[in-house]
Amino acid sequence: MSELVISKVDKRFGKTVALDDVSLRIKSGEFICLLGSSGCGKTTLLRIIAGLEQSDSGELQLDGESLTRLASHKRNIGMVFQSLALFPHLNVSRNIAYGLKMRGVDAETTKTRVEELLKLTGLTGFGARAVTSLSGGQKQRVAIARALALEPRLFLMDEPFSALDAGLRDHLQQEVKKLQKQLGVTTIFVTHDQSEAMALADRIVILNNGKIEQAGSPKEVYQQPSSRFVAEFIGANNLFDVTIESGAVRFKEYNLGSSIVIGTDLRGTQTLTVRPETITLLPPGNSSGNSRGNSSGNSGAFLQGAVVMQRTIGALIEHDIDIDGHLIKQTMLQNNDYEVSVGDTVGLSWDWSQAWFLPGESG
Amino acid sequence: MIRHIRITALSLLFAVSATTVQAAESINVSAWGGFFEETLAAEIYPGFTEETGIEVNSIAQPTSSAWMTQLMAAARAKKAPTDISLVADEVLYRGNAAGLWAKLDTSKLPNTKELKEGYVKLDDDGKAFGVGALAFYTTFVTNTDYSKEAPTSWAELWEDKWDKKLGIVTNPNSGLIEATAKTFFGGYEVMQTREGLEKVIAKIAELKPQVSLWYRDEGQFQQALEAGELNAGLYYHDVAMLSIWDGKPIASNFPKEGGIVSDASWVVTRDSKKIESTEKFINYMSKPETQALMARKLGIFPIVPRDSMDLTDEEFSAVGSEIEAVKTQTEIHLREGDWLESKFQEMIAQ
Amino acid sequence: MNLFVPRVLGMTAFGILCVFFLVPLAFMVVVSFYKADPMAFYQETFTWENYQKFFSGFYLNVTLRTLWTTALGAVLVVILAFTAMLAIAELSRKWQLFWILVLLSLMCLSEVIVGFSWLILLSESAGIPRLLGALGFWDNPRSLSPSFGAMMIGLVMLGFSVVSLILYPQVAGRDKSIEEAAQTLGTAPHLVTLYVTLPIFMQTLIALTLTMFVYLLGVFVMPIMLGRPRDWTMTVMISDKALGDANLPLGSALAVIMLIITGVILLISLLASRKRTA
Ligand SMILES: Nc1ncnc2c1ncn2[C@@H]1O[C@H](COP(=O)(O)OP(=O)(O)OP(=O)(O)O)[C@@H](O)[C@H]1O
Ligand SMILES: [Mg+2]
Repeated sequence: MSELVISKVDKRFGKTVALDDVSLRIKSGEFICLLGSSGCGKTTLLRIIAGLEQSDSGELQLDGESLTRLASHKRNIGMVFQSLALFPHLNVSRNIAYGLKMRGVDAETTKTRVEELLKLTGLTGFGARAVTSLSGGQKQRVAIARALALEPRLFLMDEPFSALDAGLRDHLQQEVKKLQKQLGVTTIFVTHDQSEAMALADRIVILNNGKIEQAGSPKEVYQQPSSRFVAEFIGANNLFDVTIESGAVRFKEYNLGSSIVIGTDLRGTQTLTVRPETITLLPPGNSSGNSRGNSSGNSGAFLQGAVVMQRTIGALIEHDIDIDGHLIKQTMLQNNDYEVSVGDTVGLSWDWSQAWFLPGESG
Repeated sequence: MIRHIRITALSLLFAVSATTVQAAESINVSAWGGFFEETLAAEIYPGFTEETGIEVNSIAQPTSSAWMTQLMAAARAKKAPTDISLVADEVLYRGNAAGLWAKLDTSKLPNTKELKEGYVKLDDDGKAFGVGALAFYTTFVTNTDYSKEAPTSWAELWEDKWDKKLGIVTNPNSGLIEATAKTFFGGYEVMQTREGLEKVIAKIAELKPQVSLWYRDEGQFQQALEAGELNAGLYYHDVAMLSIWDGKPIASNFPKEGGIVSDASWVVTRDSKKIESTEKFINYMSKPETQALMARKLGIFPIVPRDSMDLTDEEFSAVGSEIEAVKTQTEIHLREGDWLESKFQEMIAQ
Repeated sequence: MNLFVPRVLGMTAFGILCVFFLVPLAFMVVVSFYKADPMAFYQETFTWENYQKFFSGFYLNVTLRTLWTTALGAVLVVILAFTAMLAIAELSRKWQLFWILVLLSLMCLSEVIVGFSWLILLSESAGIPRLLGALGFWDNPRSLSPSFGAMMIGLVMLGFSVVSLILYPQVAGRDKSIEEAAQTLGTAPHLVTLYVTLPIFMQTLIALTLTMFVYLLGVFVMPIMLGRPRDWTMTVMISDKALGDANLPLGSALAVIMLIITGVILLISLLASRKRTA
């Protein structure tokens, strides 16, 4: 149960900037998901924390103690590698017991601890099996059990489930989450899958090109993205470049409403984000020739455009609506009263409490 | 006897194929590969071809006993990889016992009368199974950079003055046993019994601390001696002379007990189809003029009486010495062959 | 499905095997029971004599010495090649390629050339001793060959490139994260090779050691060129007997015994490693 403070960590590989001024404070017992696209530096950060890589500058502190001079093997940080890295020459029990043996724990204690871990990870009875004979999911569990055997101060996992099929992944995600809560171990889980991050994390840390874009609860990063990158990276999103002038929020020629009604005191050019599921489709305004200067009062629609794509995904229907060459995504439940089809002209509206202006982008 | 270990497995193959492609008037003659075979082919055989019109295909053969093993295998297959071979005494007799050699009619070999006594090897029927070809000396060679004074007795080998840099042949029939017997035991008599031989070998064993190289490859010995990594040892006089003429700091010394002399003979392979041509060849090689030419070109010791040749004193002393030679005791080596080989090998390898 | 062609091919392969391997082997076994004849070659009369000679002490000694020398050589080759490959795998791509090319070209050298170059390298007139002498580290430089060490160097040289090239792809392509995992689990970096890498490669290394053992048993040139007579291996003795003394029966008997000993050693190692994995 430890608190990790990462301050101003930089790392370059030749000309590649892998980490750029990364600072983060991770609370004891917190489950952090490190999220980012491939090559953004997730593994590098994890390896620096584990002591397998040296940062060029910056500092790491675990419970107030600097890690900089502490060799990897003295850090007591449990890590599950992207490739699992099980010891192929040892059986399941010996894999799990390896760290205990290194630490000189006596045979009796080791045995009970290994049994405990096998039970915890649902591997009871598999102790004597060769690791090479296990299925992908079972190997995962061995890797987790092995990393947890020493009751590590930090538990690091590098895309552990990326090679598994969706069903097994879901299952293991839940188990890991449960295990983490049960043990209360501070955990950093690397993934490039945002839904995985959403499902697991207490806090999601989004990395982009070696920089932290945003760190916040799943709800926060989803509803209040701090940057265009986060807004587009997490979930589907609609971005509008709007101008706010003399109390009116305008997108292209459309007047979306007054800033007082919308509840913003921003000015100038701003980026508005509206999630597809918060958009409501309405019948088009009174007439197609309706003035664009004003939203059609009777329907309440801010915008109007043609449906160019429609598809059904499970319980949801997804639409693409073309508004003067700007494609807007919209999703709704299937059993909606208002049914549209491709080619229809529709009006769009949304609940302003769900819309979000990206911060720090005023022009 | 080891001469030029260049065991080419290909030599046999080559010899076999050579038999099939040769022209009608040609014979295959094999001799110890290296300097020997090369010089014979370049300097001696052309004279024969000129005189008789018979072409000679010269073949390089490996050490005598390895060659015998190959000939043996060929004889089983009724093949003749060569028509004539140059062999050491031991192989001559062992091959004869195994029936490897053709029997030659001495009346076809008039020139062999010129040879010294005993060089025509006759079987019980008065037929020749081998004819002496040449003799060669093994001497006490030294590196003159290290040892300015020429050793005068084989006993000096045992002296503690070679800085542990002696080179000795691994094979028991180098003549070292004979030289030891003559130097320390008053003659070859001691070699008649196994107890006697054991005493001689025990004497040779005293050399071990002084010996840094037990050699079987002449090249290795010669290179080491020329480079000064060896100070002295046993080596062939003829090749040592070549080194000396090359300006290398080497001396070939005849101790007062004599240099070791060994004989080599021509034998005709049993399955050869060209007995007549081979007889002509042996006849030619037995002529005093040919012997003299071989002495000049090969540095071997001729086996015809000195007065039948036109060798100058200088030429003669380059190939041998008037001092009575140490003679290789071939019968003893044949009789005790296996036992002696094992004893000798055990002595050096233990 | 017509099985005729594969059968014929199979029979041909078997026939070739028989002709090139089994027939000479059978011949060797038969000859080993013949009586050696100092005058001729051998007499075709049955005798145990050749086998009795083996137990006379001398050959038994040489055999033990051979097994020990060869085993040491094989273990050294594999350990050195493995360590070298671990080191090379850490280098940049360019340097890895360079060393692989060096190893490949080493492999092209024949036994005789390798032996000869070491002979020169260890000689006092041209090699390392001379260098040490010139640098003042050695007052009275002397040839380092022939000696047991020189022979060992020769043997190791012979096997080194082959074993290295077999190991290289496995070592260079191994999952490094396994070693890192060991570190995070509390293994000091300098012990990781010993505790993790070595055990992972153990099976391969044992197999290679056995292969090298058998291969080095048959090496003839190195002991003769670089070893002292008291270092000569059974192969030297056998060829001395068979070729040098034209005593084919004794040579054959010694060869048969070596074959049996080698076979037994391989069998035991195989069974032992089976048991280990089971
Ligand atoms: N040892 C290294 N040498 C050179 N460049 C490296 C090294 N390790 C990482 N990099 C580079 O640093 C950047 C970050 O790599 P990193 O492995 O941390 O990415 P990642 O976020 O884990 O990606 P992925 O999701 O694909 O695993 C990449 O551009 C990568 O090419
Ligand atoms: Mg990664």
